[in-house]
Amino acid sequence: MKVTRLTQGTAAALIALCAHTFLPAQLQAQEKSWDTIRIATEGAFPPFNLTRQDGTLDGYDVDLSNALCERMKAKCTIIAQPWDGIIPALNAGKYDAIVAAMSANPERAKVVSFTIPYAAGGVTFLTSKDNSLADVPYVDTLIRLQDPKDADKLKAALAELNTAFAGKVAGLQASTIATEFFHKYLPDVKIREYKGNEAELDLAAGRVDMIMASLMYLSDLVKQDGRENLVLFGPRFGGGLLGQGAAIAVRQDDDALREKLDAALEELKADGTMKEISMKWFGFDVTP
Amino acid sequence: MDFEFLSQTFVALLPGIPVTLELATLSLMLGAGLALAFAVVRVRRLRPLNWLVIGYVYVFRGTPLLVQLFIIYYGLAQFPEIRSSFAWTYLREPYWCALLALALNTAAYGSEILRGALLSVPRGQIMAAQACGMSGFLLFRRIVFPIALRQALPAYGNEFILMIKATSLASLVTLADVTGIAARIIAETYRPVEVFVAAGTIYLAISYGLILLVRVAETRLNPDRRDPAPVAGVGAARKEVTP
Repeated sequence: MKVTRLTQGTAAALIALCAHTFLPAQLQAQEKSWDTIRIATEGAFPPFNLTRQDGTLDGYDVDLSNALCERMKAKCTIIAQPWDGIIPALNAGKYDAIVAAMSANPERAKVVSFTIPYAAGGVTFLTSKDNSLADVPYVDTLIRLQDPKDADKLKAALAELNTAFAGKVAGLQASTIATEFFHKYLPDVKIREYKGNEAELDLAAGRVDMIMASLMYLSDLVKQDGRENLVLFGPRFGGGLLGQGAAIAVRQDDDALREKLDAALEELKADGTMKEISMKWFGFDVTP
Repeated sequence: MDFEFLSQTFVALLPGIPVTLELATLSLMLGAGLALAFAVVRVRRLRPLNWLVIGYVYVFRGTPLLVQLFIIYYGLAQFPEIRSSFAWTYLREPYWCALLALALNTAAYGSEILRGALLSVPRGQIMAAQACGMSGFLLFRRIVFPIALRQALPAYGNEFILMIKATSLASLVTLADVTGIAARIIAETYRPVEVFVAAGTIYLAISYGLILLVRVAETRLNPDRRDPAPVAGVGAARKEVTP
């Protein structure tokens, strides 16, 4: 672990050196006081973040980032970064913050720092109507993984899912909390891991029987044209390894930036801006 | 660099080697078979097949393998007709889709290598064989093909190595080959450097083994090009050929 930090440090130093050589002097001076912030998002997880056909980024994350930057009086650039490399590139110094519907879970908190959550809804399952899994009813109450009060509910839900999932294949996006959830709570279920959200294509094609993702993402997905055949099912999980909701990730040594973002998030929460953006993109309030 | 993690990763990647090797071997075998058929069609100018092969080679050499793989895997799955057909038994599985894409791709490159090799067989040797009464398949099997194979081997060896590396794309349709497992480990640990170094080492080792194999095959197929052996060895070799 120590040695890795050293490697990471060396990489960061190299990148800093490059930045020193290639960036205009005034930009470098500004970065320390966080007057300019480089933000990364995935750009492929609507309605949180999406890429318009002309290449511009949009979505809840993007609107929220812009509102945050306005509040912090910072100049922001928002770039798109593929999901599977989004954390390594943050730690390599390619950008300063990730606003990409990233769930603040313990596993990720080992390598990055999280702000307070800015959206919460838990994760749930999606299948197609002609699959037998569609008979498992959708339960709209959140089961908290490490909450002792929910322990019995969790046990019952997992037993039910284990029976229903016999011989079924789950399509999951790699390095998401859904994959971790399956590894820990449903280890016997066969899973296939995808780089992006191509699991949806394979669900439509019948190669996988279900996908698991954030409720906020899935509830928007089923509303889209051509997705009439998809249906939510099963219980909704949150807490524990699934995290407390989506939060902004920054490098672990950038405490000043994290505090600044926390303060701005609290402000947006308090004055209703967050709710306003949430209503625009989800149609319901996702403010934690 | 964390060497303990590096060695753990290395061990974790080992189960991916059979998948990588299997994909490479099967696709190369299938591809080589197709390539030979295509090359013969091209050399013999068997119209209208000839035009079809020219079109095929143009398309498969002119588009990225990743695009071909995605068209076969995600593209074909869009059609309900295909999903309800017999072919879906295979096309449903990422493994067969990857194998098909790899085989079709290498067949296009391989056919051009073999076509060049077939055309390079000296006219005089063919005429000599004809003078001995050989013709048709016998002439092809005994004279043209062995000579062409010798010519093709160095270039085809290149294709072998390219295909070993091309199998890494199969991880993008969820297969757990070396790259697929590597991607999974990175997803869990967020440590790309060590994992990619370990994965790269494995590919390097496989390629090295392949280079040796091709070199052995080249020496065996070209006795005249072998390094001058000790005098006793030369004598022994001569004794074998003397009737």
